[in-house]
Amino acid sequence: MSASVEDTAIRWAVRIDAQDLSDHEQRALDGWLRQDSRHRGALFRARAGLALVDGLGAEPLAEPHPAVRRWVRASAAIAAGFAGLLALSLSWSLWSGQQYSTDLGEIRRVPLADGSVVLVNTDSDLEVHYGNKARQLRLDAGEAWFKVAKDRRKPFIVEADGVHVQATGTAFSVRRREQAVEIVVTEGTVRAWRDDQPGRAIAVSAGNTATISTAADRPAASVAPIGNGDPLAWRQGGVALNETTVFDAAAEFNRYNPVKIDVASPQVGSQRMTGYFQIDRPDEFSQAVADVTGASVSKDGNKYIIKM
Amino acid sequence: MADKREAVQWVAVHILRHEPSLRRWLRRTGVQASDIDDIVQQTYCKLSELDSVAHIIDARAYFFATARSFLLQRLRRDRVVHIQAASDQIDNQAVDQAPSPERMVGARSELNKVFEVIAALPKRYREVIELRRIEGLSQKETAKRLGLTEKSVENSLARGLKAILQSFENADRDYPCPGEELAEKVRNVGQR
Repeated sequence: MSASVEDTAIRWAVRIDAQDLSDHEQRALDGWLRQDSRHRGALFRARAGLALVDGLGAEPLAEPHPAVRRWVRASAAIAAGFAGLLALSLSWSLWSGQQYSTDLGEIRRVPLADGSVVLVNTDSDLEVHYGNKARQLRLDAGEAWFKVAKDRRKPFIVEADGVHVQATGTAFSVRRREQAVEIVVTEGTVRAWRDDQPGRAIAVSAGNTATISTAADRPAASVAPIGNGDPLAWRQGGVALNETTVFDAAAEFNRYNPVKIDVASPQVGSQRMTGYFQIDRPDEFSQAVADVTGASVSKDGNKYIIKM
Repeated sequence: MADKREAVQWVAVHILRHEPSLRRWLRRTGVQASDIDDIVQQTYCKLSELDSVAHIIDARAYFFATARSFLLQRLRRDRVVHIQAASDQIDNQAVDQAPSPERMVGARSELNKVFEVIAALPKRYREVIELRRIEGLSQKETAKRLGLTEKSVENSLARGLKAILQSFENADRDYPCPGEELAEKVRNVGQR
């Protein structure tokens, strides 16, 4: 694109974004825009480029309010019995919140009213309720990362599958797994506990990841350093593998893509891989597995099949 | 200047990613490189003048149709090409722009391609873009966080934005889109 027009347009787009144009600048901008429809087009395009950066997973600006949905567990509880209702109403039952959902492969950025930010990962459901005493969020499926604005009077509590994670001002992610909840802390410290064991909270500090079992008969929790892997690479659209088995890595890609990877040979699936891949390139990953293990990759409809 | 946030957002999400294929189409139609830039800019200008985008069902088709009208204007003005032949060709190639389910799925991953561009930026530019993207920081807040002057943040943001916009200008490196690629092959065969 003609360098000078595009460069000028980019400069103006960034200046407008800073929201402190002087009167003098405003006049210069108006003059430049009046000169040529191509100037107007180039500026519009540059502003769209900036919006694209913001919108990689962000809210559409046109949408005034996220859908507000009544939380329906209360009525289910009435059917289940009055005791159930009583127990539930003590915790989450009667609140209504804002619901944020993502599709397969979608990563959505949700700015919250207090300045906190949530990134909702692929195929996830998050409900947000800001009350007078606490900021309560519930992860009904998937994974989300939270950058929490400091507010000592209102703890920020994420609930996932009966596990509570509490922070004041910090950054962490919560992921629901089968029979476990995984927490990764990148800033500050969080406290985490299970519903049925409020007295046994654990503290997880920055640089650590905790796994809390949600199985009734296995109340175990473990904390370990994040190490060389980057469990939050998804925020940059990547998957970081660190001695990860091909089975686990394939499952990770399958969280994001409609085209699935099927590891048909156990001797390939149990091999370990290290490397950084784009989340939306199951093809590149499959090829890398083939290169490393000597397996072959074939495509069958919506599937990459890896086998010996 | 009217605040066109809705339209800007719409173009960001639905239009920009089709720019490489629009440019490729213009090039195949025989438009000179410098004229392609002009047509693209005029097309964006036209989109910026829309009062509402609610009525546009197929953004890609709308984008192509708008560019096509500027192309035809240009052909009439230049009188260098046999207009009928050119517009026939344009018609044939613009047929059936309805998004296939595959394209819808592809579109989401196309947006993610911008991640690649961001990842390849020098550290300073990348930091500024990521703070904006992930934490939603303003330029001022970014400057404070990184201990930079606002001018320097502005600079880094401009460099980063330029790299992103340029990734949409490269008509050779189109974003993979299964349905489109197939259509492309069919067309190429047809032209032989």
